[in-house]
Amino acid sequence: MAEFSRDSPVPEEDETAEAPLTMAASVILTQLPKDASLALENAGVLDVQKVTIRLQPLGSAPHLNQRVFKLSTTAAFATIVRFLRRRLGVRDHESVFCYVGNVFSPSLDEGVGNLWRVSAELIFVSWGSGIR
Amino acid sequence: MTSLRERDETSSVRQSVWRGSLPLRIELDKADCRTYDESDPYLIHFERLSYLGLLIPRLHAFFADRLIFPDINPTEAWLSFERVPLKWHYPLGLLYDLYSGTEPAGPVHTEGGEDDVTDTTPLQWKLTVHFSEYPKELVKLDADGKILHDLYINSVKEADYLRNGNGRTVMSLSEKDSTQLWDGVRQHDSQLFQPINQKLLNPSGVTLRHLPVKLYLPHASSTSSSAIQEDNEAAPGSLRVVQALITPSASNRQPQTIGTALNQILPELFPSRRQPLLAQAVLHGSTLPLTVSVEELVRAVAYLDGWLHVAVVMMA
Repeated sequence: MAEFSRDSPVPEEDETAEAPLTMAASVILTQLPKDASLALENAGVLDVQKVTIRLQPLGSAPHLNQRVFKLSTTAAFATIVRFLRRRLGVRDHESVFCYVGNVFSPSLDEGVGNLWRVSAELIFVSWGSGIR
Repeated sequence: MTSLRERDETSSVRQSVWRGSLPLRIELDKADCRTYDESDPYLIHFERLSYLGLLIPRLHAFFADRLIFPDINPTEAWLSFERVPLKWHYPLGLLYDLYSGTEPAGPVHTEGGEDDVTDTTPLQWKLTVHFSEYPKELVKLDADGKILHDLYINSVKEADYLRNGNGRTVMSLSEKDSTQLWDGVRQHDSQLFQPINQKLLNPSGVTLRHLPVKLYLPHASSTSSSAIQEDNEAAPGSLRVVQALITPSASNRQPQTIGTALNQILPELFPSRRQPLLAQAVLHGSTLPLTVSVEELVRAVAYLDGWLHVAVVMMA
């Protein structure tokens, strides 16, 4: 479940980072031997279920009182962006640009677990509004 | 130091990957077509390394007089295969390796340099273009191609962040260089692209920290293990992307190979570092020998955003 713990009134939709697969590529999966199916089931799944996200505004971007959150590793980056927008009270036509490690803006479908692994287990999200 | 011969091989493999293309047959979705008969398909050989979003202006022009709403904004266009929307930030070759269900070709032999990855011409890949019912999970492009550019450049930055621990190399490119990089992608022009790409791969005074690799795993539909299996009807599965920090050297100080990396990240699927037993790693339509060095692949045949996008394909 994509859900922020602690003091979070935000009802999160169940948005995972997994994407649909085509039938053409799925057929082989139904014909696998049992041990291969089992191996596939758990491959690449993190043992850790929730990770810490640190939030930091850039420049004159609006602040949040709470700077540390926990989020499920199966959530997509979109969850963080949507959460920030709601918390900051950003209107639909306004933009919020979110960066990881002050460097890149992950695509919205990128998995929080992957971002956590590649940022040496500390996701640091900074944001600016209306600027790039 | 690399020998002259090795350098020749690298450049010949790089060239054949650069030239690799797929024959596409793109049909207009019936729901968007004003005539009862199906319209003519749009046929094109499109580069594996390139992005389908770059085709939209041409597709819109081609199908414009067939559309129920001819003045529809081209930004409403999206592509699908078997009803699965194709993501704009995935290069065509990756989409094909993930979704087409085609058997990958055997390993590319670099020895002898005769083999060409474009040799095995696949059958046409039939895609559908839609101009309505835009999927909510798909990022919407804009008319000037700015969003496509941003998706690309952020992927380049993420690769840089992994290679160097920060994004300084990309961010310190001059505006001219950045423009040239994207022009190289848009026009699929290696003369424009490679010089800038080489700057990104070889920043001065920096040692390579990690290798940018993304692994794409198929995942069977959860219903297949439950009672529904009885009627033997397969349901489409899902796709899981896995990333981890991959260092240039393995724990034994030997170069990191695809086999050692996969064995570390997905030990269930790659119990052996040398032999594929349950699954294979597929890049640019070919299975990778597990003994190949990851750094060499990153330097020679990464996708245009600097990443090795590797499809994990289960062995039948």
